[in-house]
Amino acid sequence: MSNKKLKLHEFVIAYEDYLRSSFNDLWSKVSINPLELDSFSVVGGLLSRQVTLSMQLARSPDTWNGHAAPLFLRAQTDLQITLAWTLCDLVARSRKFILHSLGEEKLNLEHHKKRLEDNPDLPDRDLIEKLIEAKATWINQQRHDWLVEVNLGHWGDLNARTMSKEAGCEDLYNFAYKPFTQAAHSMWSHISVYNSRHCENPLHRGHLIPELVEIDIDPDYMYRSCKYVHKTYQSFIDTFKIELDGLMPLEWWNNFLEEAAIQPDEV
Amino acid sequence: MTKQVLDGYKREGKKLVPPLMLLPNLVETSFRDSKIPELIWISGLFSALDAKDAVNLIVEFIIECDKAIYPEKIKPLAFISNFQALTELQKQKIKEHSGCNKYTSIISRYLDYQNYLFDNYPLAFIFSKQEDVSRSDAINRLMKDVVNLLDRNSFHAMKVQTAALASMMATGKLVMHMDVGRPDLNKIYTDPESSEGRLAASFVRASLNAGASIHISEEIGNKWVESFWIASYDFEGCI
Repeated sequence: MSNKKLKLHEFVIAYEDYLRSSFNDLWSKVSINPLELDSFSVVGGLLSRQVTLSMQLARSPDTWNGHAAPLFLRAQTDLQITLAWTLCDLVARSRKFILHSLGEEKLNLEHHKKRLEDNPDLPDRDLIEKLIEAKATWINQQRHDWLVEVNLGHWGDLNARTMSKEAGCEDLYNFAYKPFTQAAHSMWSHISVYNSRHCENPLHRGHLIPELVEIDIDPDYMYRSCKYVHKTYQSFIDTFKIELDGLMPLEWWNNFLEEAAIQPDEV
Repeated sequence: MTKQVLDGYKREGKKLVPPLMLLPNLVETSFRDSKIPELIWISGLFSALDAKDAVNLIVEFIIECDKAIYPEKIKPLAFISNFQALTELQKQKIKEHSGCNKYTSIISRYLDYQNYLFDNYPLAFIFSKQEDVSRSDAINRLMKDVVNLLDRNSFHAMKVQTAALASMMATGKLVMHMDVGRPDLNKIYTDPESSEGRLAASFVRASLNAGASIHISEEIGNKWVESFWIASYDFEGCI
């Protein structure tokens, strides 16, 4: 194994270990209100999701580039905005969060039912029936499905920009969420740069032609992922007035690089 | 005409509202959150005794409590928080009433673990002394009582709800009009999967919902329910 690959491997193992222990420590410090278990289930799930996304990205260094990493980072910034906004009014907003998903699953369930009704000879009928049953069970464990409203709008009745503004993280929205959204939604600003090249024929007036562009990995994407975990931890620390034993994610990152004596260009 | 997805739902802005949610005066309740603590004592007795003995014990005990306090009116005692709503004098009357005594000793023997676990157990007044109870055993038994009620449609939960309803009818707390076609509640115990059993079960759940909303003292009921879940959360960590 080359020296570079070895260092990367060491990083992935150490980062994952750090995330697991810090996640467990942080969650163990949160004082759960037994009368608001659903609310804590929501924010606990979001915390786990944030850490999981970062761990998964770390395990796949080949995705640390402008093609793939923004898919993770968009989800991580979105999650951080959702979390920060929810924590401002934990009980009411986490309830909205849950009810919205129940509605979406209900709608999806009804589409599947309709599809079966309209196509009695559907070849994968058994599979779809099982899917319907599983979804119905999931909904009914939380609320009778005949009471479930379907909200066709945003779960918080606000867009992400307004939520970020209300939660005091507008910069995250402007400088991270929006740019990563361009990639996640495959918008022109992304595909014209990452999936195209200029035709060199002057007679073609510099049009773009599709290109499978290979790009090197850039650890900055991983650093950002770590930064969003840091923000999520900070939100928990501020809201629940708790402290993390040991280092915060960005401190850990800097510490690791220093201890391993890794120069940024070596990664 | 082709049926549409979510036919019958009403659009209100960006929301599609199900037909039943459009009914006026609809109040949502959670059986899990608010009724399990109320019925926990009945659940415990059904866990310990066979169904027939449990029903007889519960209904007879509640009838005798009513007699002990007569002519004063009290709320239905199937909901345990209503024991907490009794005055000290009323509790004393129950303790001294010979009709109650034969049941209180049995109930306190089978529910000693519940009394041990909760500082404010509403039935605490019928216990003469605290029995020697193992904490871990008490917690396991309470877990069983709760698990058996989590699915409101389960056989155990239906037996519990039926006993509660039967006691309310027996003490005149819930009066059914002659025109109401009352199904045979015995079918819940004897043939729960039959269509009559299912009809009876549905009748019991609906009647108990209505009864509970009228007959549980909001302040005392909420206090018991909250304290029950707060204490229960701390008995043991997440598994």
